[in-house]
Amino acid sequence: MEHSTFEPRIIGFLCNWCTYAGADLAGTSRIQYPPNIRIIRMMCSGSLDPTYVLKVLLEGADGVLIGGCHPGECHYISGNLKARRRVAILKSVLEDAGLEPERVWLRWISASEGAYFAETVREMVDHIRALGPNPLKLEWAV
Amino acid sequence: MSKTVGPRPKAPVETHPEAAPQKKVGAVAVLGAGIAGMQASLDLGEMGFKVHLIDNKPAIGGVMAQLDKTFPTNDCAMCIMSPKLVDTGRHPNIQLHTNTELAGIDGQAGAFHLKLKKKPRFVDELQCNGCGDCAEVCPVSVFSEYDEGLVERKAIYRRYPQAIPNLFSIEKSGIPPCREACPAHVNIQGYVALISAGEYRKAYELIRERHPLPSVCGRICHHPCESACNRAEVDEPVAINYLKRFAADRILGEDATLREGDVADSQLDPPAESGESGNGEGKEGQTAAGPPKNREPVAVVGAGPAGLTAALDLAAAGYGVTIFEREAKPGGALYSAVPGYRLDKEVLFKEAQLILDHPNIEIRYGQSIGDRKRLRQLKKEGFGAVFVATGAAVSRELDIPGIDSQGVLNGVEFLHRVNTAGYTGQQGGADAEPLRLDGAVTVIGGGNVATDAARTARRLGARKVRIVYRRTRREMPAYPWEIEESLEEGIEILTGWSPQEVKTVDGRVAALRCAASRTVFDQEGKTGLLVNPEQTKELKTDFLIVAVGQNADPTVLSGMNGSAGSKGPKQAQGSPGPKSPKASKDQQGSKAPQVAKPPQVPKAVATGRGNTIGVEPLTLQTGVEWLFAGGDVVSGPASAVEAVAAGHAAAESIVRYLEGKDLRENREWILRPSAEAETLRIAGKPNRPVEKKARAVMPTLDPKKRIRSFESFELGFDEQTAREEAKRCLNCGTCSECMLCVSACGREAVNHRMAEQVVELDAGAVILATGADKFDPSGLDEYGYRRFPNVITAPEFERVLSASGPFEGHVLRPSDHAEPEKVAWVLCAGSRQMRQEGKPYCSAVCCMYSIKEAIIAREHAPGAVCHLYFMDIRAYGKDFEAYYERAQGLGGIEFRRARLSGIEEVPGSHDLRVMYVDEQERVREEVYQLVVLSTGLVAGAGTPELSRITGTRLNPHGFLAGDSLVSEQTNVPGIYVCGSAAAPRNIPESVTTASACAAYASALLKEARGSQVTAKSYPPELSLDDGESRVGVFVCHCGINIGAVVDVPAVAQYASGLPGVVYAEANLYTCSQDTQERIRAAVQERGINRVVVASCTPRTHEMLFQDTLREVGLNPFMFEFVGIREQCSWVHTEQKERATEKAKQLVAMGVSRARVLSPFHRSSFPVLKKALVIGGGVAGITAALAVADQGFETFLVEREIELGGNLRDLHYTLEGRDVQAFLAGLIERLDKHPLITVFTDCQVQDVSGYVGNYTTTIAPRSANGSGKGSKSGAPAQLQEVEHGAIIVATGAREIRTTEYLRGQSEAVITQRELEGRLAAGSLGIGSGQEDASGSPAPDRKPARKPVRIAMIQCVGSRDEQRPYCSRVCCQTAVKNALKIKQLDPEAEVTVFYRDVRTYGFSEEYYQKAREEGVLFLRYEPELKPEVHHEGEPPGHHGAQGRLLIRYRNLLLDRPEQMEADLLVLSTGMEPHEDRSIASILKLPLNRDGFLLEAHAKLRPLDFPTEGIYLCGAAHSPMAIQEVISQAAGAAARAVTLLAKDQIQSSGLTVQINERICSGCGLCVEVCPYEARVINEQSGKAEIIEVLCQGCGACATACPNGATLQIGFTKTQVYHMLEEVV
Repeated sequence: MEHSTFEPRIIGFLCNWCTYAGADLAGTSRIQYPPNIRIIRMMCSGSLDPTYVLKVLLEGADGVLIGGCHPGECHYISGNLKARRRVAILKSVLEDAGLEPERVWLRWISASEGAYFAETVREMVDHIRALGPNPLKLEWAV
Repeated sequence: MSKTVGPRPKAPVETHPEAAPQKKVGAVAVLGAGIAGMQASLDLGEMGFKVHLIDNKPAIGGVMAQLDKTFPTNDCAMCIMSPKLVDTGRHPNIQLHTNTELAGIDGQAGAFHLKLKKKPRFVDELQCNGCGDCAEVCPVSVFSEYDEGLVERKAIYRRYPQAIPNLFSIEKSGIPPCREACPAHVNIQGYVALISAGEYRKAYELIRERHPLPSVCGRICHHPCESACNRAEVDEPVAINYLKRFAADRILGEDATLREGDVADSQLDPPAESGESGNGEGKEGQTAAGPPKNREPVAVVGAGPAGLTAALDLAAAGYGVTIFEREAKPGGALYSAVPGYRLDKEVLFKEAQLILDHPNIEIRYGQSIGDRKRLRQLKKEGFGAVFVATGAAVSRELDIPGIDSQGVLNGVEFLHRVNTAGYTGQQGGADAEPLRLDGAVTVIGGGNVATDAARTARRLGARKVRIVYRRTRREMPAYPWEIEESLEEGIEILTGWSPQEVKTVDGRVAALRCAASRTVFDQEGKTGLLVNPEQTKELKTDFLIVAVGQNADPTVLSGMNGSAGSKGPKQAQGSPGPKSPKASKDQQGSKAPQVAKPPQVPKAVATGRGNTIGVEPLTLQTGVEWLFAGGDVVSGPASAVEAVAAGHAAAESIVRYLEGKDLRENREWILRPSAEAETLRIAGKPNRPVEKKARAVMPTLDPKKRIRSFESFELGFDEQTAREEAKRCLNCGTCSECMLCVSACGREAVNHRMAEQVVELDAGAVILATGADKFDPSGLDEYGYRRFPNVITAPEFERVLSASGPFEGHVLRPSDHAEPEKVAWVLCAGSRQMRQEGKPYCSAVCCMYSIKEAIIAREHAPGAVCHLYFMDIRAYGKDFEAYYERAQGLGGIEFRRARLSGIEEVPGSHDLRVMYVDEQERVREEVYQLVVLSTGLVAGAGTPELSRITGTRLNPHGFLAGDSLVSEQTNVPGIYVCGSAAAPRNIPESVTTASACAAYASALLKEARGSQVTAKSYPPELSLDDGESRVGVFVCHCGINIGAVVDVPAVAQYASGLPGVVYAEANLYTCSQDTQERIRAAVQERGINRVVVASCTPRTHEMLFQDTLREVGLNPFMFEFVGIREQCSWVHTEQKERATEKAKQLVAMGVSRARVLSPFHRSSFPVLKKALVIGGGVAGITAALAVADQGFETFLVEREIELGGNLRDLHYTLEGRDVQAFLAGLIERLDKHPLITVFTDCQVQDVSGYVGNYTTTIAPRSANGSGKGSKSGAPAQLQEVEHGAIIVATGAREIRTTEYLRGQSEAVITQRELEGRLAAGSLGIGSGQEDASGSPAPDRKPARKPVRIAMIQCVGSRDEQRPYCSRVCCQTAVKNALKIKQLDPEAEVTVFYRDVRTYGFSEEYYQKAREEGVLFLRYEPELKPEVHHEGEPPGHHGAQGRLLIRYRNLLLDRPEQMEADLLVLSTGMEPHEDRSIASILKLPLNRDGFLLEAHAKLRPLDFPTEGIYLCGAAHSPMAIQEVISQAAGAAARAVTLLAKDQIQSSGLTVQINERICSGCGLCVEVCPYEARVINEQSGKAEIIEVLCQGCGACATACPNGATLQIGFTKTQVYHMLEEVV
């Protein structure tokens, strides 16, 4: 079965102050999660350029996790809210392009939520695995 | 009268006003590194002072680090605090002193000298990289104080994962009592811990360090350790001895080839008084087991436990040792006297052989020293010293008739024969005939030899065995278990009979005649034996064994004292014995060392009772200096472990003697050098609850079976039993010194020998920020804390809620880890209590944190029902009331005004029944699954000592006392106090007072600013940017942290093949100092211009490597961090291959990005070193003075003609201070201050510029407005001032209201008006009352009706229009009510309130008011009191008119009414209507119209806009002393800016490509910091770098890509993304 061997590639864009710190805490706490994610540190989820997400999806990434501070806790006052608006638009664009919007996850994960970060990665890997590989990649492969 | 003679008691801090002013020290010592201490340190560090931040814990962060969320913003405490932690840890001007306490202070304000006590961390701060490998292996678990005891941590630990400094430390609480009790001081806790961890070999080796015969000891030891075991207080002692046997059996059983050299070296043992001691070198000898050194050999006489131990120690120290043993086998009494069922001889021989296998040891069997070969002969043969350990193996004789008959045996000889000849004779020597005791055997004696003989006789077939003893069973010297086991084996014990005669038949024993006897005491308490010859008994017996005691062999000393056994000159015990030759010489003095020889005194060896040898007890030296003795030959019959102890002591003495050292120095405690006094104390019982668990039972053979053989009848523990039993150890010493951490640490950072250090330093000022402790409710019995598992404290619940806590944020209760359906909070648990167990004051924080905990609990467990039991909800702070209201509106959270009467457990469920009395005095109860006690704060445990050392005063509650108006000033000039060390305070108050302290210290030391800080200098940047990217990659093993999972060499190999990489290598620890050299070499040799480090996380190490780059001449922005530990090895531990693949890809991403990195240079801007203060109330005046006192020019602008603001209407404080006098003093200082310019009757018209560079236009308000004071003046026209910082202190005003007939009746006044009248001494109520309010006239008419005054609280506050609490009104009402009572004790004062919010220490005044008869009646906001005029129409000037107040009595639940002569409205505070300052400076407001600070918790005095600061009532309503704290604090914040010549951008910023900027302004719109502007001339966008915080929002918003975020440019990110998919 293809799905059972399929290992999703997930790219994580994490804000420096909350989710990246949460991922660090998962590390220091030795909480295990699948090695399917590659983390890219951003200063703020609000500085996430949507083209980054588009680029990795077009090149075949199976999922994108965007992590920011909880609403009201943004280190830069309101960057996470900017991210929220952008991701909403981005998802509708993806849908129009024929890609499942559920391949892009936006999650608020604080610096003390190491376990939640690990759980999110586990959950996302399972979800994307069930969803199957990124169809865009298949097309591009032709 | 006689005068006092002698030195006067010295004050801790003396000031010498007449002495020449000492030079001020530009350093400040801050004690306590919680949030207050960190804030004070950061402020002072930024102001240009050196800061010594001192904390007695191993990590900084204080209590805030333990909190989950913070109120009222629900921010994650750790999220908001960790940037401060990191800043504090990295600040170049802040030096951390962790594990350190203040020990002493002298000097004076400006130049103190501090003595600090630095407790050992036992981990090298420079070597530890916080990887945690040590904690993984540590077998000792103790309760985690960080997690409030809900879970355990290891003895080697880091306080919390984000701890700064990121170092481990070892907790040691002293020598465990077991180890202390053990004569050989075996590290018992250590080996027990190792057994619990399954490390049996290490356990065995650890025992052997102090006891070379563990298996033997594990069988026969009388285990004084178990008698000392603290576990006995819980249930029963740990089965220490059986555990030892288990470990020893296990190792000896599995590995017969164990060699002496296998025994690991220990850090702690053997002791060494100095590095050059023989023992220190001996370690070498032990491990290397090389040939004996070129020294005189030592003779040891006797191969018993004492002799073997001494021999091994001496051999290990490099001495050749020859043992002379009389028997053919080693072991001494262990061999010849201890029966086989107690000690398997094979075990003994095996362990003895391990010792004898030491290459430096030779043993000669069958060599009896005494008559034939004398001790002196040994000396002559060349032995430098002789140790006599010949035991006490000569039986004492019993002198009664018939004792010489056949069938009478000597106990010792009997045992010797059985043991040496084999138990049944078959395997014994040739001359041994089978020994059978078929018949009745009677043993005389009560000691262990007697029981041994009896039990041996039983095993040899005796039909009936009986022990006869003269005294009672309790007096029998045999060990109790021996007596017990004897009885089990069917041996009869007859006590109270004294043998008188052996009756014989044909010369052979037939019977023993005994007479009754008992112990008697003479007058001196000495015992004697009273024998009653009348009462006799005849015992028939076939054999008689005499075991009435043993003596030493007198022949050993033959020739030593003339004739054998003669008594030599008595050597007084305890007197110093002869010194070693060298030491003796030294004592002669240095004048003629060669000439003087020790006088020839007759040398002799003293002897004692039972032929024992007299020795100097500490050194075991006899009267002959080369002769030492120990073991039974000195002590008489004693235990093996005592003999071992003697062996160690003798070896130590002999080494010292032969090396010419003092025999006595530093020997009081043989375990450690005396310098480590702190760790030498005996540990007490750990203070925590312990669950009972029965001691493991040793499986034994049935007595009926065991008497048939000499097999050991104790079968030993199995592995599981042993490990479980070992876990019963309470770890009294905390660290067990098992040394597992030493071997686990890859960086050799662990050092158990670290000693306490004294650090001395100079500081111009001292800030006390030591915080408070949490109240322990154990003493409040009715709450059942510690009795019921599900009654926990709020700090514990904080950890329950925390995502990093023991339950990962799941709301679970401790007893069964089930989610509670209902949770109750009990507020004021221990606070506001008049009883002894509680505290009378209000702890100020509990109401709010309880609400917060309820809200968060509902978030985590949405179904949970939360009830809060309270007296008053004190939501008095900024935005607190809204938070309280929000909680009420959430649903599921209910507030119950009640008094708790008790909590009990519902049987069978661990649920809790809370019983309470409601407001109507009805008794009620309700059942909860979890109860949280909202415990308050108490003065820190160390505060009294701190007060004693510093000379600072304490308040009645034990907190450090500050001035009642200037809270930070203590009674000692130059010593300041902040945070909860002075009073229970929340986080923003702690931060505020900390900044205020920084201001005062900075003012005191302004001349010395910058004198103790040195900027680090770096080499000039190399020009390596020739367009080619040459990347160097350094991949870190991090010991085994990365290396054990990720194939690090493979990753480095892979990296070397990546495009652009010219060099790649793998390091064990990339963060170590030598890597810097390797990077430097790579730069020099290969010209690398970009560095990639693949290791831990940029959050902790990026700055370090960037600094390294600067040090080697690279631009710090040419660095890329790849996280392969936190993001790879630690989270994919089980998937090594995939982790390696991931690591490779992460490195490829990093390299790809590194190739396109470009250098960046931070820009800097000059700072105008002047401040503008807006507002001339107490806040503005204080702020202006505080800035100017620190040496900076200040402009003060006040709208009104008069300075003083609200303070002009206040007259006295709650504590009785004269406000007007205080204000006058402030204004006078202001007027005289050379650096302050005051503008009154003026306003700020316009402000332009940015942080560090402002220009402000000041406009006069009225044409004729003239300034007050000498230097102030209203300019006739607009005036411009330039300055770098702005402090906004625009204040607030009293609320104006028309409620309650205000404005209609002159009998309705406000508190301010009342205060004015009270200050004037008259209540001003009608003519008839006039005199009543003045000084009471003595001739006053007694029939006069008392004055009735009503007060209504919350007028205009906490309503729809102004939903906030005005904070000060309750205190004001109490203040004025007390003043009324003071003026007229007859006056009746009634206060209508909603919640009495006399927080903190003002609670006492509330209590006092109640005591003085002030009546407090609560009203509901829906049912406010109604005020009517009686008799006269409203508005009438009413002397005759009376006010009638109708209200509902909530206690009796019925309407009532009262008359009042005067109604006083507590009207609270509201923001000014004029919000022009906020709009000019673009300052945010909260929903109540007060100015909104940058962060409610950690930046209470800052605005989001850099360079502008906030204080006073413009922030929120507050009391005078709080305003003063804020004002001084804001001044400190401003000076952190003004103290700098230049401000530098963080480097986290953007660059603009003007070429493609279209000037659309989108970047300006999205910037939250107003750092983006459009240049009006060019029309292009610009960045104000100092304002930029680096979020990158503008770069993302820019449609043209004209804005580039430094370090995160699109090119750089795209390059990473190229490698990612």
